[in-house]
Amino acid sequence: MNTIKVSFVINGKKREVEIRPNISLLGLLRDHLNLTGTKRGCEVGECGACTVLLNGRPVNSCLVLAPQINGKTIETIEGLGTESSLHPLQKAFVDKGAVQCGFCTPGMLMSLKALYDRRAPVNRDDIKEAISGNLCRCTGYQQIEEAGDSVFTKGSNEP
Amino acid sequence: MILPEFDYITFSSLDDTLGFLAGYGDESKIIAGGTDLMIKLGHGEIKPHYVVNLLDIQELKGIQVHGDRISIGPTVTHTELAGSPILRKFAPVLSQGAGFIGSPQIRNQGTIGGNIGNASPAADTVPALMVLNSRLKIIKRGEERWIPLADFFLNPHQTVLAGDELIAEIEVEKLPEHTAFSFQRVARRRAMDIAQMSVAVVLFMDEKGERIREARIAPGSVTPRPVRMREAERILHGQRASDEVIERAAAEVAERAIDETDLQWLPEYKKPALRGLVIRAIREALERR
Repeated sequence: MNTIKVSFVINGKKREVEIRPNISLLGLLRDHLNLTGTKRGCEVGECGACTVLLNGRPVNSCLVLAPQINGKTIETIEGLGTESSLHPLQKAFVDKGAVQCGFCTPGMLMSLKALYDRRAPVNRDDIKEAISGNLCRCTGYQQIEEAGDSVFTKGSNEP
Repeated sequence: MILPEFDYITFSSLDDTLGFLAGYGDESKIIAGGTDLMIKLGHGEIKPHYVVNLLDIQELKGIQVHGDRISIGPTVTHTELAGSPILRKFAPVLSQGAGFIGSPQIRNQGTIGGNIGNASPAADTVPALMVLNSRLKIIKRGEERWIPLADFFLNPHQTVLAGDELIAEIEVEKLPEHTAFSFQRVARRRAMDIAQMSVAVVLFMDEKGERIREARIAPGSVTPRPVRMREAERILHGQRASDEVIERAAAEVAERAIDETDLQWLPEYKKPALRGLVIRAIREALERR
C-alpha cells in the first residue's frame, strides 16, 4: 500500500499531508490533524456526530475517503468561532440550553452553519430539515431548534 | 473504523480510468460518494486491492437535455437531483424520490450511479427511474452498450456490471411539463430511514384531462428486482379515475408484488399497506394534473 499526498484547505488554511489511503476524513481529522472536536459516533452515516462541511456542504466525515478531499475545502467545528468570539449559532446554543451531553453539538452546529451560510431567510422547517441527519438523545431537539430560531428569526444571517 | 489496505487510484480522464479497470477491474472497487462503499469496507465485506475514484472525471457529472431525453451523469448527487431545475420541470418524480434519501449529509455525498450500482431493493431513485423509462450507458475500454434499467439488476445487490465496466450515463424520458406524478414512501420516520416500501406513479391524461391515456407504476423495496406493474397500468388505461378503478389497480399491484417476491420478503402487513400506498399515489398524481 503506497502513501499519497493530499492537499486541501482546512478552516481557511492550506495543508498537505502524506497518508495511507485507507482512512476516512474523520480519521484524518481526529488521528492525524488532532482536530478532535469532530466526534466519532456510529461510523455508518446514521448519527451525524462527525458532520463537517466539504466545499460548504454538510457531509458525514466517516463516509468520506480521506484522499477524496484533495483540492477541496473542509470546515470543522474548530473553525467556527473562538472562546472569546463565538459564532452567533454557538452563542445561541449556550443561551438556549441546547447543549446537554455535548456529543452531537459539533455536528449540529456544522449542519446549521451550512444553513446560515446560505444567507437567505430561514423558517423552523428549514432548521428541522437541516438537522434531520443529526441525532441528539438528550435535548429532544426543542432547545436546538429554538437556538436556531433565535439566530435566524433575527435575520442575522441575511446580507 | 479500520479499513482494509488498498491503493487509491484517481484519474481526471475517463479513458485512463477505463484503461486501469481493463487491467485491474476484478481487483478494484469504484468509489464515488462513498456512502455505501465506506460501510462495506469498514465492515470487511469487501477487500479490494484498488479503490478507484470517479469524482474527478468531468464527463461523469452534470444534467443535460437532449431532445426528448435527459442525460444524467452517474456522479450527480442526490442533492443535485432534488434541486435540478431541469428535473424539477421535466422529471419531478425523480427529484422527489432523491429528496427522500437519507439525510442532507447523505444526499450531499451519495450519487445516482451509486444508488443504482449498489442495487439495493430500497434504492429511492430506482422506482422513479423505472417510470421514466430509463436506460443506462455501460462502458468499458473501447466499448459501450445501452440497456434498459430493469435489465441491469440480477438480484438484490447483484448487477450485470462487470469489473472492467462503469455506468457512464443515466438517460431518462423528458416528460411534458405538468405531467401528473407522485412518489409515496413508507418508512418508520421521515429522515435517515430506508424505505420499507415506496411507489412512483406517472399518469398521462387525455386532452380533456378526464381519462387516463397512459399510466406507469413502479414499486420500491417490495420486489427483489425493480419492476413495472404492467397489468395494473392496463387497468387504468383509457379509464376515468373512479375510486373503483383506482382500487382495482392498487389491489393488482399488491397481488403482483406478492407473486414477484419470496414471501419472506413480504410480511403480512405489506400487502394492504402497498395497496393503500398506490391509492394515495394515484390520487395525489390526479390532484396535481
